[in-house]
Amino acid sequence: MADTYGVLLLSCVRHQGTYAPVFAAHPDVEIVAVADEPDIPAWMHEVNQQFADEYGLPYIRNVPEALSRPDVDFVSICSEPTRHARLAIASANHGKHVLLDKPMATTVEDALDVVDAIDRAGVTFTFVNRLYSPAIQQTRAAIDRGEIGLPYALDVSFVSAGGLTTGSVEDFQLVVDRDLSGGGELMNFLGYPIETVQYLTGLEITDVYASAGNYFFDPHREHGVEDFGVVLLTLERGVIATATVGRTPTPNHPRGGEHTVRVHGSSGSRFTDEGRPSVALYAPSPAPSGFPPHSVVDVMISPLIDDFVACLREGQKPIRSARDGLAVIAVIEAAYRSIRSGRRERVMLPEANRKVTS
Amino acid sequence: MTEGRFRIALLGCGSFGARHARAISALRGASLTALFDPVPTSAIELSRQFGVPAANRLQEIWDDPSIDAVVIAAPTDTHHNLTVAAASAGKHVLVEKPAALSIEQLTEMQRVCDERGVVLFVGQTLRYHPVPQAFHRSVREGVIGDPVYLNWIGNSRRPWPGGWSGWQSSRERSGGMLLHLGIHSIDLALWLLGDRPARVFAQGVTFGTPGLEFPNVVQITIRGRNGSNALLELHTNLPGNRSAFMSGRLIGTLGQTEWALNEDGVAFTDQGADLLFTGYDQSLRDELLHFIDCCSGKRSPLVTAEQALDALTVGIAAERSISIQDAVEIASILEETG
Repeated sequence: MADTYGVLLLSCVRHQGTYAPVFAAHPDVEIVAVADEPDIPAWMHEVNQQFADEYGLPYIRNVPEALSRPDVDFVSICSEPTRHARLAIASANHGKHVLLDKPMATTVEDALDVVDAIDRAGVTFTFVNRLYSPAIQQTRAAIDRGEIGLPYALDVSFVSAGGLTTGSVEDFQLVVDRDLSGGGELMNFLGYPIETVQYLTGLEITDVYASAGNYFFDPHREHGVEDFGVVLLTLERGVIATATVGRTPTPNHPRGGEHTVRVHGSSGSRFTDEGRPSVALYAPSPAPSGFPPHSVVDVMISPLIDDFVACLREGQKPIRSARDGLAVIAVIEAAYRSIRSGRRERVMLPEANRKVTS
Repeated sequence: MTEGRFRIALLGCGSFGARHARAISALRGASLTALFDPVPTSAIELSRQFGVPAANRLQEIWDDPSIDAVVIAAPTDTHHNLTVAAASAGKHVLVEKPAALSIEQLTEMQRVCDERGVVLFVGQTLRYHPVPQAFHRSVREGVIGDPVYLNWIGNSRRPWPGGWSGWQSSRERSGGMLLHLGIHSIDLALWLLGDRPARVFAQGVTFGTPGLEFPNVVQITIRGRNGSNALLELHTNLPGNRSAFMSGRLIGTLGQTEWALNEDGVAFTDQGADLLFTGYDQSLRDELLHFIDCCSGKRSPLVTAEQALDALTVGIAAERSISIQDAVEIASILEETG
């Protein structure tokens, strides 16, 4: 195996700014080029060009050409979500390993195609998830040690507080414009609680009830997408879970919102808050605040990329597979059906694709 | 009123009746005048403790013109009959939650109390607790904007006094977990969100208690007519040595109020956990004072007749949602009752 792995930044319109510095700093990774499809909007080309300039790389406006380069071992796909599947499939078809931003796809059909392409190509694949965080890993370890017994109820919250202050206006279109995002904040965020519930229980989510709406923000209202919602998940073995997801305007939230997991088990319960430990600062300036001393990149993204590279080296599988990503998308799809129908909806997945990685 | 004091009879001398007796006895402007329980030993115990005569028959209480009001802290399946009888005898009524087992029962209770000109006051004591009070103040004063989401977590540890002989564990007598305990959070949701209910979905697990007729771990979500969402979580299996654990957050269009108790990996194990639930006796006192003010016409009950009916309807809808494993429209429940 090569000593270093060449990564192609395949579109940089979302989140690549978070991942690229981790690649750049990684001893076993070298960024070799930026690429994207030729017929995307001009502003996307500009964003891609900025990344190419920053890292002194060629920007290739031709995906098959970029994927044919022998120095590309894997791709980091950060297009708008509606193009995720297409770019992932093209990469797999060129024999490249795939690290795909979340959500893995925006429809079950697209996700199934990704699973097929990855299976056929036999390449290493994962999608960006938050499961590498110490909070989740320690909870999983406690469950594995039997400390809380058999989990029977979970409550997961992924609420981002502080409004629309992050990202440019163009960036925000990537969240609210269905043609780009595939949905609203449930498409954007619901995957995190779902993957958490699946990872901690190893159980399939069979049914979903969801209630959501547009409560806070004009961009969501203008595009007719939800900014907040509540989702109840029914799992195998009668296990139940709740997920609260969305974006709120809450100002000055010391932890940037609620990113919490509660697991109730037959021998005890375990509560985790991604925003803790938090450090409080009382000073004339800045205003008093409390904040977590760790960054999401340090505790979640770097370990995910480290594990991905280790899997390339060792020929192992990352903790989430394409099939796991499909299971996430199928639950999100059922949640949107439930919002429309006002009923509990069945998660629709072909039998062969049901079981999540335990 | 004799000696200028407001005279209260206590109906029901069980665990919560005892708390009422203690709270009433501590009030300067009121006195506990009589008490009744069909189980003589319960009545005798409280009678001795508080120096108050135990009535042998309810009729003695109805016939005593010096008694201004009754506090009904009896099993839920007795609420309707006791309220109707008390109101017919001209007594004001503070009835413990849930007010009744059915919409028909509560509607009749409200009708009779209206006709007799007495107060029907539903005891949702949690509304008087400092935390929900602070939540409500954040709404009232406009600092969090329009409230759109309430998440309330209620864990209790001793929900089944009396074991299998206690009425609490009987669906027929208590209405089930969602009416008996869920009504606390349901009432809070309606009050804090200020939205009337449109749809309910609930799911549950019966944990660790073979033979219980209903789930004792429940997740309920209420969608309001204005689109608000409440997510209420109830657990009855709290390990450790505290009797209850609650936390919550209320999100509005401008900000949010939260009562956050989550700490790093707090584990509820046999070691217990750092759980807080203080101020309940104070809440009960404030509730009784409010009740007395209502009886003298100075104030009106915090739980309106409409809210009492809405809370009961949501509880019934949630029970049904669990049994049919689907969402339940409030309108469908109301249609059935006419």
